[in-house]
Amino acid sequence: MSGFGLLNNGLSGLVASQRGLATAGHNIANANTPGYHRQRVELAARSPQASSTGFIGKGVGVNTIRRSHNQFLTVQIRTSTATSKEAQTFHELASRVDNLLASSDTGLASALASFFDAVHEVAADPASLPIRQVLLTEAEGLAQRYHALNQQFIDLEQEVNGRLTGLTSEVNALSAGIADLNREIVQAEGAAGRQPANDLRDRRDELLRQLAEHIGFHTAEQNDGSISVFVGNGHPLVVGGSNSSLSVATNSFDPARKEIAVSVGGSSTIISDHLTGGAMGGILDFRHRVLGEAENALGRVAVGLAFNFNGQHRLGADLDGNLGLDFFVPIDAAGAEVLGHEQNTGSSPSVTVTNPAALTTSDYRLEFDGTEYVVTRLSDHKVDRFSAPVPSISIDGFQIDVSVPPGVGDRFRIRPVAAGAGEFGLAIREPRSFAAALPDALGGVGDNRNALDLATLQERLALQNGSATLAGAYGELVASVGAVTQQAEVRHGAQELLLNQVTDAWDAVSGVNLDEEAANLLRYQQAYEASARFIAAADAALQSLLDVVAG
Amino acid sequence: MRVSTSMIYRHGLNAMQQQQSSIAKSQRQIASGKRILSPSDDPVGAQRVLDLQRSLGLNQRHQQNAERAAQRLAIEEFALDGVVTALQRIRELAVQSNNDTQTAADRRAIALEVEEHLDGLLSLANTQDGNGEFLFAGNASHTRPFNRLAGGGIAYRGDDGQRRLPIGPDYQVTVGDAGSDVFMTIPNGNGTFVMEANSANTGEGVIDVGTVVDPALWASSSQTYTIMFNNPPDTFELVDNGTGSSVTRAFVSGEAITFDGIEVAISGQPAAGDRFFISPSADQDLFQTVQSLIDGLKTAGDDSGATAKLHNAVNRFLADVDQSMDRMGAMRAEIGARLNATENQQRANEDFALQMTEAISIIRDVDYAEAISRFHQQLTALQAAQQSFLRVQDLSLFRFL
Repeated sequence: MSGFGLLNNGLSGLVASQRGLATAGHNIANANTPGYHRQRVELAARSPQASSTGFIGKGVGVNTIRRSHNQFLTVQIRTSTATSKEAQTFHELASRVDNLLASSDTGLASALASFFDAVHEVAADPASLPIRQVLLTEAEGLAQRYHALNQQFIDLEQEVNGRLTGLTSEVNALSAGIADLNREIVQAEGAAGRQPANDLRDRRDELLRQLAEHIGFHTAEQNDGSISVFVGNGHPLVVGGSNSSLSVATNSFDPARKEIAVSVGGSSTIISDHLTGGAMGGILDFRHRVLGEAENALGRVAVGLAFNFNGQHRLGADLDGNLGLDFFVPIDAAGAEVLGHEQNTGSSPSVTVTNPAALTTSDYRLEFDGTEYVVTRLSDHKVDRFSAPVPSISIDGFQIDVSVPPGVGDRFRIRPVAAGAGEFGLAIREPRSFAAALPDALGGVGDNRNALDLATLQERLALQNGSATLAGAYGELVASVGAVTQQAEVRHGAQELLLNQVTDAWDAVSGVNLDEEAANLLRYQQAYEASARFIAAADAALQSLLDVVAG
Repeated sequence: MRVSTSMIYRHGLNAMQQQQSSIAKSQRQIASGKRILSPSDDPVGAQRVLDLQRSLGLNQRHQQNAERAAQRLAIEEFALDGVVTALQRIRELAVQSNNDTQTAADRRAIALEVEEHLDGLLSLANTQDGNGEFLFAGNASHTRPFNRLAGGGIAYRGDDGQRRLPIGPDYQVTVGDAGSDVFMTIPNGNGTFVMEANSANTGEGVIDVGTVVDPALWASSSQTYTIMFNNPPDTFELVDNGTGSSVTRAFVSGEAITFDGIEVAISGQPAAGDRFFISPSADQDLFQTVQSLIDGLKTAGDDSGATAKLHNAVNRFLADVDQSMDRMGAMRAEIGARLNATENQQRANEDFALQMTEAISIIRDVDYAEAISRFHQQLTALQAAQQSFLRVQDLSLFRFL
């Protein structure tokens, strides 16, 4: 065995120790880097050299520097992050609606109660003009409250649009980053002979985790080292080194509503309905389950109130003996929102509420294929068919006027009461015009019979097919939003716990422990010293040999 | 289990943040006094509180109405008390004037006093409540109900409405009575039939109020009769104006004349041709009753015929005024009953309000003892988390290298 063999062995030890020290130093430097997997030097004894006196060791070689990584845990963290963030975002938005509806300053309950109390006040003193004026003022106040709530809902819709737009940009930036890293990793690992590009992979994993905060997705690792990302129902977001962009499109029925679309080939498809997970999923879920429902429920109370109050008011007589007119602005038709699909050819039919007791809080879809009308109730997908031609379609307390048929193939989204809260208003201007009396022989200025009937409207089971009062229906809305918000809070809490557990498990495998690295430093430092000593010894041995030869 | 450095920090931080979040919530509960800060804290409870608050609001409205009702009914009662007092005084004066020691001049003087009382009655009938509404005008509450007509008499310009106010769940109390019911539609005579002496009578016959002996028989008869004195006036014709038949009877002063279920008596000696009419009781207003007395007193003369006329007028008045007093009595009894019922309902409302308030408090309000002790616990836990975090992160192998 040659002297150079000795030196090589020593050198291999030095190099290995150096690598060990470098890796420990790298770990220490990156102890706080998010998503950093600790790296370990994998040492292996080199293949021994055979000799007649036995196999002679050839020192140590560094096989690779491996990051401590558990793919399953990494994916788990992403999934929990996506679900937790979805629940958190949903909870944040839902609790805003929750507080809005329940607060005595912004909610409807106290305004309704004040209004009906003012009617009672007129019933107790029907001939008094100041008290009648107070009633009109309270009615105005009630209208303001409806408008304020409606405006808040509109603002929330726009905030949802804005946040979706912002999230789309962030998702696109992240997916571009992931695609770039895919390319770099494939290239780097190819050039390095299939050695894992640890830090690049760490970065990619971290980008994927950030992406999970925004949107839920699935991944598939390819053989070349790149990771493909799929969102929604398998729409590809990142494939190899290229990514497709999400874009913001307008809803085909409602230009004021933004949807998420992905372009494949040359065409873009709207995928909002299939997106779950992450902040985006939470926002879309909120819009679908809470915001639309709340708008409809509030509108139904508005339409129910105006419809029933006006009906009773018209049975009465005012201070001058004239028959009562509409007290509130009639919103049987104005409270409806009818939106046509952007590809429609015909005009949108008008919708009028005929029986508030039968109204639901669902949206409806109307389709016309030339021979029949198909009405779908979107809450439970109940379908009703009507053969054309027919002058009108009556369903669930409202009527669709199709005396002028729409175009063949036209589709409409119908929300019979969604605009009720915004359109609610007082029609009467003069205190004298309030019809407190009845138009018969006993209907003098002191007659309070119609005022009493109007006041007892508060207790009438006017909604939900005779099972809820106006305020009761509103209370159910408050309770249901409250329940949904509470569920989201619980879900968020549970997901946070799960995320913490998974993160702990990940940390156990991949996290840097500074004490451990300090111990490693000592270890490799000692080994380095020992190898250096050995080289000195080997050198001395070689030197003695040379001295002998040199003379 | 292997522990990484960042895990140590993360756990310590999480623990502190959790405690801080719990402390924040406890603090908000204590500061606001509410256990339910937003509906999501207790959705069913929040909805229940809304329902209870609505019930409580309605209950408060009922209490207010009950107050109002009690006030109005008290004013009504007070007015009717005044009416009864006046009528009693007028009745006394009528009895006094009936005494034959009174001269025509005396009677005319009494008439003046009765006129004063009539003005008083008119004023009471036009009583207004605190809001300026006329109590006895029905629903025409801004129109003065009782007004003198140019040609004499008093007309009612109100209507027949009665206002009701809800003072309890499904319970409305009547807070007014139409002037037509109170003053205008009082049956005259004895309540079943009325007798009237013909104004052209010249004799001294005075007819009494009469009584009903067999209501069923009277009800099935024609109920209109004329007693017509013959010449000589020791007999009279009892004419049934319904059938036209007439019967002749002998006349004895003071003796009961019985026919078709009723009995009347005539005292004194009527002249030939004198008539007395009997007809079913009709509605007569109270003012007309008093005015008839005044008219009778004012036209009193000193001769026997005039005296008889006066007695007939006074007898008629006494019958009519007793009907009026009965009506007032009935009204006061009804108002008294309504006041009682209102008071009872007010007490029931108070109980209800108490229950509602308690129920709301149980659901919505925070239990201070529990909340504050929980708060202190959480503060301690936060301190412990903070201090343990400091101790743990202090330890590192690098210190000793």
